[in-house]
Amino acid sequence: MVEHSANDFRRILVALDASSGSLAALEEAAMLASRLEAELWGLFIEDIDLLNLAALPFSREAPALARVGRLLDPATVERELRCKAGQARRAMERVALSRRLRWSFRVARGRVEPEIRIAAQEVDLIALGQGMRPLSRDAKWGQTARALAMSTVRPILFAAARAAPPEAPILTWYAGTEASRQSLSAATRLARRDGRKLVIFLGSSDPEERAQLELSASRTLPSMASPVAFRHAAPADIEELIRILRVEKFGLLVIDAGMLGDDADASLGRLVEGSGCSILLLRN
Amino acid sequence: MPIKSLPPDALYRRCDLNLLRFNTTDELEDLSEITGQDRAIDAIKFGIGIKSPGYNMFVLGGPGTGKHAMVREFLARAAADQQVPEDLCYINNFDNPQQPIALRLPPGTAAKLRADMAELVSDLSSALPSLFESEDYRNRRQVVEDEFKNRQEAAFEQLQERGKAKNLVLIRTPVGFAFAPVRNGAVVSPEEYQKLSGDEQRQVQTDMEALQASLEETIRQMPLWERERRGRIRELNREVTMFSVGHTIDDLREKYRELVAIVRYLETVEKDIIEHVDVFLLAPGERHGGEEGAPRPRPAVADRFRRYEVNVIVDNGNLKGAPVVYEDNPVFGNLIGAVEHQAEMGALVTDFTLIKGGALHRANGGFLVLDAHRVLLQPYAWEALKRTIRSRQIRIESPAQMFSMISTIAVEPQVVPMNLKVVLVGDRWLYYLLHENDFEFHELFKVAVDFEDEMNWSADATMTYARLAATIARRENLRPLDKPAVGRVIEHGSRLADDTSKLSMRIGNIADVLREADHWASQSGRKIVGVDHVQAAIDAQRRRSDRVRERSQEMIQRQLVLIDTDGESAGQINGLSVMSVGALTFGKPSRITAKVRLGRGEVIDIERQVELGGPIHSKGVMILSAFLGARYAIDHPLSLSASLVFEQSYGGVEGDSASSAELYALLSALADLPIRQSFAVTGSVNQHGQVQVIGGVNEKIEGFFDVCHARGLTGRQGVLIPEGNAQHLMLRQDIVDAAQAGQFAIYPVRAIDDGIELLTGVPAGARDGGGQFPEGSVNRRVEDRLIALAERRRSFAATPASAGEA
Repeated sequence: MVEHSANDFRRILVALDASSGSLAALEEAAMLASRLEAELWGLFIEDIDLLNLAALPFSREAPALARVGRLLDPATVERELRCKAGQARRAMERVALSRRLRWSFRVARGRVEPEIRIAAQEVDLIALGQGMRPLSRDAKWGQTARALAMSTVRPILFAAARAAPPEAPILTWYAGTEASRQSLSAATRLARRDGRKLVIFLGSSDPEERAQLELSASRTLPSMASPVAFRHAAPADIEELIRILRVEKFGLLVIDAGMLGDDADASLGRLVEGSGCSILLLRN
Repeated sequence: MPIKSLPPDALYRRCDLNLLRFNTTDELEDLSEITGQDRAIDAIKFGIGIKSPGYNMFVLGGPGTGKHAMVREFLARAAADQQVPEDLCYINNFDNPQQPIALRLPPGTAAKLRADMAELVSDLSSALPSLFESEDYRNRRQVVEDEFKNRQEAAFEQLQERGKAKNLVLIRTPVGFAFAPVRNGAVVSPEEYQKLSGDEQRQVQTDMEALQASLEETIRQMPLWERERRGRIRELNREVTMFSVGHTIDDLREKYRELVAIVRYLETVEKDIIEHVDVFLLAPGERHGGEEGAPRPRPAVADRFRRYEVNVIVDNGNLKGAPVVYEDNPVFGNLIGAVEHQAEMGALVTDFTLIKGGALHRANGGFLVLDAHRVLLQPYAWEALKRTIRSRQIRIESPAQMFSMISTIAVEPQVVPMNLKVVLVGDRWLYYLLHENDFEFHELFKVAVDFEDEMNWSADATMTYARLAATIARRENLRPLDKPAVGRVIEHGSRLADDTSKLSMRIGNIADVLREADHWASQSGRKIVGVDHVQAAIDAQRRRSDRVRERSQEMIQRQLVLIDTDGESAGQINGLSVMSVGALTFGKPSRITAKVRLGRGEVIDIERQVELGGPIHSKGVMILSAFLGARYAIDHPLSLSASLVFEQSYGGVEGDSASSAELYALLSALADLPIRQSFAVTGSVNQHGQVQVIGGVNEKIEGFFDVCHARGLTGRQGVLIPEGNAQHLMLRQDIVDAAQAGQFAIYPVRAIDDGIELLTGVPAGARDGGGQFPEGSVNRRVEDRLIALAERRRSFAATPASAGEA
């Protein structure tokens, strides 16, 4: 079993497509990289599927801001992708310079999810945006993000569309399991480093069990200068967690993939879409 | 018959201390009534009472007459009985922020409304965010969001389902969406596509075209759905806001139910808050954003709640009666108000909260007192004041707007009706200047309040003056004065008036003497101001500004400036002039000389020739020619050429007070009779040879006395003054003492003949029955000389060489 600590994030990969969601992920990742003195890697992928489509003689697209469609041609698509890549690079440069980060940026051509997965092998954390509008109820959140979340073993940071204040507290879910203990440790280290408040979500319908959980969590906590609070919930499930995240202003949820239950895909989807909060998904 | 010198008691009018019925001024009551200013008081009362437009007042009088204080006191008394005017405030015009609305409210209401509005905003800024963060609201909003999201997702899902059936997948392009053919989970590459049969290729194309049309239709629907969603969210926000705002505003509506203007304003506020609820939902420092769906407000400045502020311009809540406002600095903006600006993001912006009221606003319903001179000195202030009075409306605008010099969009506050009296206070010359040169002045300032500079020195006035001194001393916390001290103050008042029958009403000067006498009493450790302290104050005042006079005297003593005070000399006389340097006025002797020769009957004023003489001085010299021509040898042409000069005068000469001295010098030169240099002369002369009064007689006498005194009084020295000036004598004590000791004399002169006898020691002489002056008399000698000159001229005229000159 691998124990992740915040200090392990030496290289952070940000998948950029110049959308507002990916730029939000860039900001969030840069802030984290700055705190952890990590290196920031930017990756822009020229989608080969799109290029293949554009090469077909009769392919058309429906632009979002036009009343009529237009023919897709490879030259136009290539130009638009270069333009997007340029935007992403400039954003990366601006953010990195403003935070004095070590950084790199590259453009790859291929299918999006496999390319990110390949790039992820060299990094400790992947940062993705949440902002992309889903296309159907089947894809509550981005297909790429979902596929990645299910396929990669790397921790993933799902950045919220709207950044929270830097002092906003960190929430983690502790259930007494080893996985939740790991996420509590990571959350604790992040909170301590930033001087942020740490809120520990404890869930059980049994008061005695809740007390034991609190005791157990307290023992796990190293000595901390920043404040710690406990939130009790009964029952303790994803829906309750989402409700708390929506009502209260948290800056980050640190959660282990093991806490997502059997239908991890759906749970993570609901969390990402419904919480409005950045999520650091750890894997132990 | 030789004229007699004035007795010593005629040189100074002493205050009769028996008229002062007190020991110290502490025993005297304050002067409640203003005396000696009946005309001015009547005018003020009239000006206050008359309600017709244009009857504003101009208070005129000399400096230091206390007209400012007097007018304000009168106005304060009148204002106390009048109604307290309304408050004035400016509120946002939510429909047109460029034109803020003026609210006129009962006294004290504006400040309350301001506080109430601030509280309302404070309440809402905490209540509304809570409301919008509540679970109930979020749930309701989520329902709306979900509905539209589902609609959108369903549309795309349907498209995707249709695509899936045809092996097509919906993918994102850089700017939109497109359907792509897939095989084995990947988009078909061009090479794979080429491997398809012709039918398959056509089928793919047909399927894609069909779905593409549906996709475009769906995309076209999206903005409509989005608009509908925003509308629903806005409606939800409005409903939620109304719930909270309506409840809060109802309390205010009830509180101000009798003030229709406020109730109407509250309605607009409620409507605006509902429309712009997002300003209450922003985090501190956040400038825009907020709730989706609500139109973004356009705050003029960073503070988003300013639009709900109440800008109180006039708060009369603590006023008793009508206001009496004195604007000390009547610049344009201070008079009519201004719309200020503040820098925001590199631009100057403004709104109704930056409207600043002026003195006219504060004085509306009462009286505005202004210093006329200051108003006229300030650019555009006079024109703005006149326009406001004329239109009877206070319109706040910049000078640039007023004169149409700019046409940019600016805040135009609603005009306010004006109902007040403007009282200008100024010097007399300023009043006449305006009257002469400003055609509107008379129409706008119909009431002249003319303050006297002097009052008659009667027995009653003596006591009144004493009470005046007592009032000043008490109001300024000065020591009380004893009776002789008051007597000396009164005498000083007469000296200031330059008249033994008058007392100066320049209260400022008297107050200065009292303050300084109090200082000297303090230095002496006395609790009561005595006559010595008053005298010390008067002497010290003079001493402080005496440097120029001393230098002038010194130059005479060192004979750098030639003045004889003994001996005799023909065609030479000591004239007397007055110099004013700052606050000091002093007399100084000047040598005047005359020379005569054959000529064409002109008396040349050398001062005038070199443009050092003023017109009045020239007039006096011309009168001399007329006098000579009319009195002597009237059947002969005046055939002299005489020149008159103020010796060692380099600064110019004006006035005719030296014309008698010039005539004496001229007669002396014509008669070839020496003039006694122990005398100095002042007085103007007319064509009949009568000596007329002049100004500054005291200073002139003192100027000559100081020269004589420095050289040693001989008992022969004195000054010839016009007889009419005897009533103006308030001479220094040392001069009175010298006269008492027979060392110095003042001679009142009625006519030139009287003076020339005294100056030459030779009788002037009057014509006998045969029309001849007595042999040896001054006049006979003058006439003989003039006849001789005429004869000589006639003889010259008879010669061929000079024939052309006749």
